[in-house]
Amino acid sequence: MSLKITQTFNFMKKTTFFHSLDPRTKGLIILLYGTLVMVVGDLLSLLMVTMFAISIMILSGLGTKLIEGIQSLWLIYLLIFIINSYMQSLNLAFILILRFFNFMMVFAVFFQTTMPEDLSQSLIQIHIPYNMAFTLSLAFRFIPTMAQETENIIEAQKSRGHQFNKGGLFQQARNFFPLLIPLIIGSIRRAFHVAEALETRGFGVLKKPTFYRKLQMKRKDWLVLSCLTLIVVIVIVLEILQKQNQISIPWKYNLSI
Amino acid sequence: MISTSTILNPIECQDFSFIYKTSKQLALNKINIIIEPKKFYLLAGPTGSGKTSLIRAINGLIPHFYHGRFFGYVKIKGIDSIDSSPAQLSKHVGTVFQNPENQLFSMSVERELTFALENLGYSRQHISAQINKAIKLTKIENLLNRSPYELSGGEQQRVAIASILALNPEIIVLDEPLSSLDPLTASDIMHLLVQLQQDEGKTIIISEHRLEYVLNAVDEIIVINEGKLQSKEPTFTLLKQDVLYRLGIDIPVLLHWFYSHQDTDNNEKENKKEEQQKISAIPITQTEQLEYLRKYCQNQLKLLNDQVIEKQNQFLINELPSKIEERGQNIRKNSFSRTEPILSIENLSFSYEGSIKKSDKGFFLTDIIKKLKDKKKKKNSLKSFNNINSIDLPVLQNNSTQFFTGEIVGIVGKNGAGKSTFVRCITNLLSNFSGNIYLDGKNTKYLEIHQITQKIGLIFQNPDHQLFSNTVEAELQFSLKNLPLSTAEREKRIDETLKLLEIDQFKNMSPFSLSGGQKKKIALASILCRNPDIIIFDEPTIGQDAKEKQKLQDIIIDACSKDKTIIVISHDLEFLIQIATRIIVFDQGQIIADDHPNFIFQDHYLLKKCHLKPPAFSSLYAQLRQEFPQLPSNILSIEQLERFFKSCR
Repeated sequence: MSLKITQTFNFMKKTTFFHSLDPRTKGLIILLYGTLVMVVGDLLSLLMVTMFAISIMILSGLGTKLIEGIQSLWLIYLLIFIINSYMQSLNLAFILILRFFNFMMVFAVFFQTTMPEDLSQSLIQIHIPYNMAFTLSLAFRFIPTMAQETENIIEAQKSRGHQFNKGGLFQQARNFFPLLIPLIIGSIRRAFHVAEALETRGFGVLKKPTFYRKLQMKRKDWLVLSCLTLIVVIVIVLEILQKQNQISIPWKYNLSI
Repeated sequence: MISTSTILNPIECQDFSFIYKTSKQLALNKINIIIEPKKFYLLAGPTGSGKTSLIRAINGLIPHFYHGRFFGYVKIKGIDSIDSSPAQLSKHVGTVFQNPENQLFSMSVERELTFALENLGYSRQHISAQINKAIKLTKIENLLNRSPYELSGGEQQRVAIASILALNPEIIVLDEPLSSLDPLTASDIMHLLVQLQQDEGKTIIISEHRLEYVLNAVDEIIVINEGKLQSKEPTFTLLKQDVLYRLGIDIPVLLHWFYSHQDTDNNEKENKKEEQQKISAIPITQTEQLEYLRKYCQNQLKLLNDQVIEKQNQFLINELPSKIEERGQNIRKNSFSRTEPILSIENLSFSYEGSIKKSDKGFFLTDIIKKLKDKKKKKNSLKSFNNINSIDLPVLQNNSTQFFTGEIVGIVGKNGAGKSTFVRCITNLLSNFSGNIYLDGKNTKYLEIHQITQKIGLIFQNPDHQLFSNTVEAELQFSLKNLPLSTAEREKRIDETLKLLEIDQFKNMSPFSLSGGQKKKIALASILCRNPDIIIFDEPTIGQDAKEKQKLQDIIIDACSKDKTIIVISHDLEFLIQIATRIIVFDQGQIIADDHPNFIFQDHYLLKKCHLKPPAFSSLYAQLRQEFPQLPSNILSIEQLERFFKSCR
């Protein structure tokens, strides 16, 4: 389960529409879409928004991995559902689950389609310190390497007769020490090697490096942003009007319990 | 040759000593070296001799990253390394580290190349010109849009070299860059380095264990041991001296034979002067070696009757490797009493795609999307041919073979041919294979992994992936904990294993305080103490020096004489020639050959497929046979030739 999630939130090399957008655009999409999801207050509208988003993703060629990873969080959904349906209402529980799902989705799209370096570069361009921004992209870069290493360690310990899922809950937790210790020590060693290599490649000489490829907002970035902003504004206006009972949306209240 | 006063030498060390902050011993002790421009140097020495420290001193990591006490001075292009930072020095010195994976930090190759230039604040025009030059030199045009982490080891090393060439440094230092590469890829990288030296006038310093890869290319050899400079001489001069042979450095097998052979020849002469002469008679160049062997053969053949030789033409067909022959008949008997295989593999196939499908069951949305995608894929199958190729091709295809008690089987094939997957399927670490594997007559599908690993011990390349205890003893206890043994028996096993590997003095030490070679031995002990019937080694010789390799051979042969089955995955042809009774060749997921080493390793077509190079001896031997047609055709190593003459007497 855990590995699938890392896949979902890790960069995927592909050429989709979302990949070609500027990271800053995608950051704003998260903000706008997040607002949209929070503003829409009833189940059916939210469901429609969600379906709309999913269909856009599938059309643009993202999909399988995304949904696979998000569904592997079912435990969290269940938790949200139980707590909220108990404390509040069934309706709210469903709404919260859908909101959570939507947030996961939009973040997953962001991380899957944004090259970590583009992310850090855009952070640097909006004046976040180079060190911090680079650390972020470095962390993403080594996710696949670490996943590979984890697998190797598991295999090595298994071939020494170690059984990871033997014994009670407490014992099972202890069984992970033979995995964790080599992994941690290996990571520290790797960190040293990476630091050495960084030193010899001039890292940190300048506060702000030059960029060979500068990130630039293109026409489609502006187009996407203005479309989405328009939708969000319309939805907000509709919500307000509807709250003041100035208009009625046909499907609302028919279904809400 | 070049007077030192007129031209600024790339590197000058004077009375340079260094003590790491964390240790009390001198890591480097009074080093005096002058590195001349445009030359190719080899830095040789046993593990822990100070090679890496010297490289760190050259690129400025000592004293700026690794702190400690610093004596004397190191000057890089006239700049004192104390006054400069590694970043500033990077314009003059480019460093390639042992593990390319850790020095590639980007998600695309192009960014990797621009990284250093961007950091130093160059303009875009300059960056563009520089990286284009680096790309051309290293011929990585086709890799530009890929991610460094998905490249093969050789490609990664090429990108690493390109990324330092982008800064156009005059000096390139490489710290064991070939250790994880197969022989053919290693020689490609060496070829590239020679080209950089000759065409671009770079000064290159390389440290490497296996001298075989580098001897042809380097101009001079720097030998260090225990932090001290032992000698610095032109290659040919040094090979005629005693130093390299004494230090247990991994010298080409042939040279080693010439060296030891002279020892036995002139046993009576004990005069020191004669000793020196004797060493200087070691044939180095190919013509010298051929001349030497010609004389050797003439002498031997004079003693022998031609008729005997005719008879001996069938020599080696039922022959065992030289190493085993010495150990007597016990093994010989075993390996020919082939009654029941201990491990039998039938129609083994495996693909990663298949394993994903299985785990996907039960979720309809994913399935629907996948089906839609599959349809799309079929439509675009021609377009995205490359993509599909790497994902959908089965890693293993319909392989059947059998292993018998007392065999030592070598598995060869280039990286990605399916060797590791094959071994992982045998031990059930990968369980979604199709086909059947019978271990001692039982189908492994119905066994748990821990039951299988009681009989099959798999020893991985990297000991760091398994060591985690406080002491070596605890490490072995961990390996034994699931076996039905009494406490006394465990103690006994641990002591026995440690003694066998000659590491009993480390019993109460932390495995993390040991050197790489010693860690490797402990990883080996952690499997050996479980006393499995089948022992599988994954690339056991990587990074090992001559002595360690020798020891490993002894251990393998010893285990074999105790009725074990040994399987060795390796690129080390010379190592396999000495011990293997059988070789299995993998190519594109299939076993394409399975035979006696002397047949496999003579087939140049097969060797090329496995990214191996024919043994150095074989080209010499081919020439010898033109002169002495009575010699048998299928001899692979000088030891075999020696043994052949012996058997004729």
